[in-house]
Amino acid sequence: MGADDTKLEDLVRWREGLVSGEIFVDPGIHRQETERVFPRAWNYLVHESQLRQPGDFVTTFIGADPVLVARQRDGSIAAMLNSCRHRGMAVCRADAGHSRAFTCPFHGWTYDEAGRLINVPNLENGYRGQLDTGAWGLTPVPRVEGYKGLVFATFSPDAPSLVDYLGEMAWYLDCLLDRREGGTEVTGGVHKIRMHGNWKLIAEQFAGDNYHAGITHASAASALAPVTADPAGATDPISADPVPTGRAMRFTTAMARPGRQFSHRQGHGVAGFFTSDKALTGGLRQMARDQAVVADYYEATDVEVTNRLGAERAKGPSGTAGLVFPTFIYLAGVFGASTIGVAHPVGPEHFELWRWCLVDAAAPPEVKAAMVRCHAVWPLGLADADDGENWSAVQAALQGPMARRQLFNYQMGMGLAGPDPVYPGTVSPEPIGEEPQRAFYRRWLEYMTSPDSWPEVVAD
Amino acid sequence: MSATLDALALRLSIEEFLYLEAELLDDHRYDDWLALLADDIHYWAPTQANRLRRDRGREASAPGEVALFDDDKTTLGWRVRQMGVVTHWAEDPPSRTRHLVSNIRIAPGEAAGEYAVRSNFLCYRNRLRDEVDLWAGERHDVLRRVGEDGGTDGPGWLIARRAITLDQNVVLSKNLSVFF
Repeated sequence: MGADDTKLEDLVRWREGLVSGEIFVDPGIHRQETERVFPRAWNYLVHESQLRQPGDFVTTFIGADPVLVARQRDGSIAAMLNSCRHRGMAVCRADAGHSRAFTCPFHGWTYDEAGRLINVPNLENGYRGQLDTGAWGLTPVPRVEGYKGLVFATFSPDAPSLVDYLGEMAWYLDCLLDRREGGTEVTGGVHKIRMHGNWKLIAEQFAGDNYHAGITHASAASALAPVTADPAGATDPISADPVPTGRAMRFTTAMARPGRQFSHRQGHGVAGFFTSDKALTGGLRQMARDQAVVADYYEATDVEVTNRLGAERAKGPSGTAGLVFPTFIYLAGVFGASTIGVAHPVGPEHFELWRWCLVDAAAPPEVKAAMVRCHAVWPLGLADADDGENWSAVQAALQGPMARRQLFNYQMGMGLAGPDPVYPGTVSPEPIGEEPQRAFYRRWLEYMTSPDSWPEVVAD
Repeated sequence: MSATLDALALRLSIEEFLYLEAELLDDHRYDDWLALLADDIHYWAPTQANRLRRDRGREASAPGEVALFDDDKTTLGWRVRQMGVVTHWAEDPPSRTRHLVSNIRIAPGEAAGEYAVRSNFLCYRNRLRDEVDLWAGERHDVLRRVGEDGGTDGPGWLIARRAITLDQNVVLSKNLSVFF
């Protein structure tokens, strides 16, 4: 079955909270995504701090397309297809670096950091000097815009500006990006991991799935939690079996505390936060040395952060996961580190998760170092261990035709979202729910069923 | 001759220790494995970037930058503890692993009783019906002799430092819930 002979509206019945497994496995649907979703949406490229000097570059992807991103002589950032105009080979195969020239290994066509074709071997005798080099630069990604250090790009001439696209999501992103004067930077190094699973599984998880944390991450929570004096704490929060070390953390109980979710008509979401929490710092100070350093830092900067963001925003949404449609993900203040990342699709069956450690630029070096170490323990360590298992097990189960035709339940919290006196945008009144996932798939469907152009958001 | 015998005895002792370590990991005896690590251990695996030829030598993330592992004994203890929790779904049912250790090279360490030991590893993981992961790399260990004559009740060595080069750019397994 391909995208052509199935009505996508039958597979994504977001009004009813029903989504078919087909959209996670069908190659035709995936091919249509690479043509209709990624080139049109605002895709995350790079953090400005990774490109400090003209000629600094990184390579990445917009959906399935390889992209070269480079700092320009005028200080701007440009993006172009990492594909030679002669035969299509990638002109840069390093992850990052500094260069003023990118030479295609195939025939030697050479481009500068702006993508201009600056050298063609045998131009005189081969082309008799007739090649218009000005017309054969690397294909530009025409629109590149930034928001507080984050750089996004789109091929769409019709998409709104990045700031309009983000809408109220920017208010939530500021919890991550605007805590202190000087903004943020990413530390050196990046986690890249290939997951078995469709890219939408992680996208929807960061948009709205706070629900999974109580079960999926129960083992990580048990491992991390400080020793409790409560004898009842010696049982596992999920199974009630004894925990070997006498440690436990009640994630499922935590999910019943007051909290909110945010969903956005452009498909963005904030997965869920607890309104009274400063960050996901429950027991942070007691965990270990690095976590205590971060806890002290949060405390020391609390006044500044509160002055900049306001009391409500300095709590709640400062400790959560979120998604900017389609694939920019973040964790704000989770177990001692903040993480930004992107989930690149690799065919319908896999995605590649790239994650950087995001720190306040003004933080002292020892705090940044502690955050880097926290970032290695979570998410790559304790969290991925069980998340990766979920995604691969979903993907494996959906290989069968009967399994993938099932309509899955996305009905939690239907009809509950609306305006909130404190938090802007469409807000759900619990820390768990599936309004952001429904909004994500509603928006995905609009991209997928718009054949020619960027899909306008229509009013309800 | 005596010096040669001493070197051979040292090599045998270190090889036996590294094979014991592999056995404990493959037998899922993680608490016993943790006991082989010195209290001051730094267990570190930098990321491996693709770099331009002119940047050769800068592939690995630097100390202080993001790493795959950047652990002390406390955080390794968390990872071990997670392995033992009944809700650790990634190991339920348990994986099958086989650690192969080879190319052992021994040099004197910086402190008395310590040796700088390099080894190559190949780790195979087989999981559920047909999931296979294969990791290859090199370890730079500092092994510390414990006990007067190289061993009392224990294996005679502690791992005081381990730097792991994992020969992958993108980690190709769905997690790194494994020790190298």
